Amino acid sequence: MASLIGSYSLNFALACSFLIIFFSIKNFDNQNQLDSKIISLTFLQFFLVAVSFLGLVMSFVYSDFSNETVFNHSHTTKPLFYKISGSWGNHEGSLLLWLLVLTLFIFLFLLKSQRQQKKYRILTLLFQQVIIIGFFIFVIKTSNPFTYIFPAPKEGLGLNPILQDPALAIHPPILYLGYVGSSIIFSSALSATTLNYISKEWARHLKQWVLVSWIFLTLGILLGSIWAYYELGWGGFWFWDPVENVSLMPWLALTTLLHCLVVLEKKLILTSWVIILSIATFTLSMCGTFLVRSGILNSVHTFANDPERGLFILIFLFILIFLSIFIFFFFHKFENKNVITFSWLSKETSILINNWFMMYFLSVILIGTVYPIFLEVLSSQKISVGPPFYNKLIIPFLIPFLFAMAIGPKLRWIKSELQNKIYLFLFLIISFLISIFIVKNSNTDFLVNTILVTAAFYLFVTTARDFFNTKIKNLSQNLAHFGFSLLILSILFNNMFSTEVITNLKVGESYQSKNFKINFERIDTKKNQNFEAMIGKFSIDNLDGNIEILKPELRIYNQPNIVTSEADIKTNLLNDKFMTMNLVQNQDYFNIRYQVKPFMIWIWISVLLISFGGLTSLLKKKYEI
Amino acid sequence: MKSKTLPIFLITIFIIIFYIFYKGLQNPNIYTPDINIKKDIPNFKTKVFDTNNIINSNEIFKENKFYLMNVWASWCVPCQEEHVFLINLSTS
Repeated sequence: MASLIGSYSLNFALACSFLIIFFSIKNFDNQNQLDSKIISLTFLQFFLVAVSFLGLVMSFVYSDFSNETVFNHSHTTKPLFYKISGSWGNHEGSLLLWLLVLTLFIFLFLLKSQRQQKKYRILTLLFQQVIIIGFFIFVIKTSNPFTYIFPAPKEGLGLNPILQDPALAIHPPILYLGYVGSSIIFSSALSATTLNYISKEWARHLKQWVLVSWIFLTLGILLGSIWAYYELGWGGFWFWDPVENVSLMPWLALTTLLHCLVVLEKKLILTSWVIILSIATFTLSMCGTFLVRSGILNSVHTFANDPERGLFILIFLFILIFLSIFIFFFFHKFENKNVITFSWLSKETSILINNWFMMYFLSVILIGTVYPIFLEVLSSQKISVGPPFYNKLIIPFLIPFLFAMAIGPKLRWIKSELQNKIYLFLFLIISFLISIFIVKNSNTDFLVNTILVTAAFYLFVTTARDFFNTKIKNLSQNLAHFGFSLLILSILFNNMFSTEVITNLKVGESYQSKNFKINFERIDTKKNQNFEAMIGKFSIDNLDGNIEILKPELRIYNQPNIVTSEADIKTNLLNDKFMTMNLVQNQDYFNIRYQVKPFMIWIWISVLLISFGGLTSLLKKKYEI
Repeated sequence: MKSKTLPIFLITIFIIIFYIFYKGLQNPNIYTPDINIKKDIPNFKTKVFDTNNIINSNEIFKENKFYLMNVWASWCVPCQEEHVFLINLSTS
């Protein structure tokens, strides 16, 4: 029943789109006011999609296996929380969620943009409706979440156990708010270009939307990363997997866009940058959807594998790209180059430098992600691009980037003398000395790491000084930049000082290493609602006399029958102790992996700081300096 | 519109990208390993799991007959399923 309501309401919501378009075109030229019918219809559309989404959630909650999506991804023994989260833990349901966010955002946009021109609002709505219709057709035609099975099966196939996790339950909605939020930026930029509406006022209005999707995207990536860290048991937080890259690319574009908007808001320059980046952010999100949903990439996360779906998104994506190119070249008034003069030492220049660095990082990731596809089509060779590629191409450029980031925010608009040269120089010396001291104690490449750590430290101390010193003049920027410096430092230390032991142990055996001894004490079993757990108990005697108890788990799920390994992680402010355990087939041995990972918690904290910086900017009414 | 070269160039590039993605979609995306016929296995040394003795691959693959070498991991479910068959094969 819930499925039936969901299905009908989805079709009615699509019909709303056409009504909205009809009234919008009618309203475009006559009347001064926005027709209130349009807002009501937009709300109705959102409401219908919400009903449809709830219909799917209810089908999951009541385990209605006559619905194919529920049958494929749920099971009666699954805990209620994961029955609910399972509704967006699959291709069809997640697209419905995507639609829900699309319709919600355009409704909020109409409510929030009352001070903008009527034509601009209507045109943005029209562009957004084009995207919405595209997704409606995609959902209804190729990925309908309400397909019937007759006769209804007694039991479902179950949700992949690695998705049964609190972090991953909220990760998709948060991430989608970020991804889909960028659609508003896209529509709004296209409409402003068409109407030649780009102004300082518009920049301020758009910045709110950029901040909203930026905050959600940052948090979404963070959640995914935390999940991968403890659930996949690889002991890392970033693997340069295509799916991760696909979320990082719009993030980079969005971050650059945010910086450009700050300039546009002040000086009405960099308009081309703003438009191109607004277009790029959404097309990169769409491109990500294409890469992940079409199954064109070999990735650990690829979860839909249907060329028909892929083809649909591909065509839709390129229609949007060609539409954007057309609007950009046909309507955009390019800035008059003679009027704009950039002093080399000014905030504008430093932001422009930041832009180019960001574009470089973005291109490296884009090439690394799609290159295997190109190579396979052109020469039938199969390769996969891994971390060494990204490290080699990104790290050398990270060093000047960090230095520029340390100095850039100190500059003034238009033209400035670098103030406080002495402390900037003093900080450099201090960071350099600290870095030598730190890197000396690690057995990594001395030269590269010293320079890298110096750059990171330099950014850290300069941002820390602003953070604690100035009179909360620009709190959001300070928070975000300080968070970023903390992030880079934590990642560097994490890479340099991590230690790892992989060994096979039986119950009762021990492993002695230089700094610690691992004792495998015993193994317990525990029965749970939908899995059985084997819990190992390990004690670790550290050299300093500290004893740590770690209890990694193996979970044997009943539906589907999959073994997952749950890491046990002991976190403190200095380091994480991370242990996973795996079965060795037909043996009494267990494969043990023990890692000491310094500063892990600071990676999470720093990303939270970064998004908190965005939040303070969003909430702040005052004009930024 | 000032210059037509840039938009035309961009559109051409995107059409090419579209074509490549389109072709990419038709390829089966199931992993198919390279076939290495008439190539030697690289030499390696490794520890025997139960005894910790070191063995050299040269000593194992020295005779002129067929060998079957299986690369597997403890956590790999298809490998576990394959095991029964392989063990039967080696004992029969």
